[in-house]
Amino acid sequence: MEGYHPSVDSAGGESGIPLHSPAMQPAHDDTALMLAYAGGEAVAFERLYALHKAGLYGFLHRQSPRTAWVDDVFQETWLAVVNARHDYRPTASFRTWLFGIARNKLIDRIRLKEPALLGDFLNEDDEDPLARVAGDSRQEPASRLEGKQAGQALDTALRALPAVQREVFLLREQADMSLEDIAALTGVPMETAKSRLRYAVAKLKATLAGVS
Amino acid sequence: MKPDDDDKALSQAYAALEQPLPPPALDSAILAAARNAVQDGAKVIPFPARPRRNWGVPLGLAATVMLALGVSLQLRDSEETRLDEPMLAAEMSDPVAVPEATAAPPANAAVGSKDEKNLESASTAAAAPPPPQEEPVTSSVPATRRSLAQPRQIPPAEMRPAMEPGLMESAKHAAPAALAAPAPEPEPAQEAESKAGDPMARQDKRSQPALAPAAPAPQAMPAPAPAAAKPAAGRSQEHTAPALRKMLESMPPPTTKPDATPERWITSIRQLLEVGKEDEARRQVRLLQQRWPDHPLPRELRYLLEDAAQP
Repeated sequence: MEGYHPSVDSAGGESGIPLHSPAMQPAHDDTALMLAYAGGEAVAFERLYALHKAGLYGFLHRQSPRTAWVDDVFQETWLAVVNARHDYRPTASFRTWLFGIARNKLIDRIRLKEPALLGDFLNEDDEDPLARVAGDSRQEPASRLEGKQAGQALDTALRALPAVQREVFLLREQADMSLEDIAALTGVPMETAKSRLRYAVAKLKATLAGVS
Repeated sequence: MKPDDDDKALSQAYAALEQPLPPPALDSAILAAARNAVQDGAKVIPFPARPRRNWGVPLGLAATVMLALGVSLQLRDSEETRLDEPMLAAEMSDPVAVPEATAAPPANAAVGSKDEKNLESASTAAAAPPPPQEEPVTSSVPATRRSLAQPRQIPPAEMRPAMEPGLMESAKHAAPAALAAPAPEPEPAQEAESKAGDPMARQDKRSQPALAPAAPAPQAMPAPAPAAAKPAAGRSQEHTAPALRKMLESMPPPTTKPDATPERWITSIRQLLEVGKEDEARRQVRLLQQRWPDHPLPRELRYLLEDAAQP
């Protein structure tokens, strides 16, 4: 969503769940770089791109229902940043703004290409997440998982998550966003975001326990 | 395992997953677009830009032109058919018009002409059928219009009752001569053939009256018909019904013109005598007496009437 500026500015990490942050970067640095780019410094954009391209690409790669869409949505997201450079206001972290744009681009693509999948990516998960975790037939027996297969099992379990739960988990892991920012970005109450993250983590833990 | 340890283990496991990176070409493209945007100050568009298919506009124009052409051709054909129908109906409903028209030219020529050639050709040209050159022109007409135009070629059997038998016979004899003899002035027929290809020529041809095909006949028939017309008339009258013969006799002579004066007729008879055409002069005297029985015949011409009265 271009011009989307969450009112909450947070560097993340305040929740009780310690998560890995591969793209950890002080929010004020991102904001300064974006403002510098809006002022005409192309090098500032290159720095921003280097800091966030992996996290954003990883998020889209695992959240997109079609792998073929990833490059397009990734490119559209960054070009939206370029075109909105003069409208950028540092009311929220750059990372939250960037992932918000990417999320909206992905939903637009789903709405355009495969609207049948749209319900999974919006806030329409009436199914009990725990029941789904327990009864997922696609989950392989833990005893068969060894070594590198653990990563594949985690990846498979991650893709088997409901889209909204996977989204919260990816935003937490890939973008190092706080639950508060995730709730604001996805447009759900804080408790809902927290619940989704808890359910996602529970299922993934169960997968890892089966491997070990 | 404590919950925090579980969460940390999950984060580590996730970090250990293969992290996909954008292709280098995509990196370069995005960075180039960002640089260009700053340098040019303009907005960039997503790429690869899909080429727009702009063939819709030319295709629409072509379809419109084709539709307009088709409609105009249809309208033109319908107008031509409407033009042909009344003309054809007038021809078919008035069979006397053909003999009247064919009889008129000889009168003009016989009375008004000064020399013998005009007099002779005029008497035969009236009964001449349409010249053979007309056939290719007619065949060049499209099939739909030809079906309407074909009745215009009135067969001799239909013309016979309203036509003087002698003229019919002379026409029969003159037609092969016209085919064999070189036409002195073939321009009309050639022009008609050359114009048969273009619409304007065809339109001119259609707009001509029904007698138009007989017009070039005098030029293409140099054969002297009056000498052959008399015996031909006798042979033809043998096969003519009495009622029809009576009707033909009541008609004015073919070489006379309704408005021709006896004085002009007598002048032409004197000219015939001057050139040595005494037989024709006798015939014209006899016709003059039939047409103007009360007009006094000059003394020097009375011997022609007396000789004609002798058996």
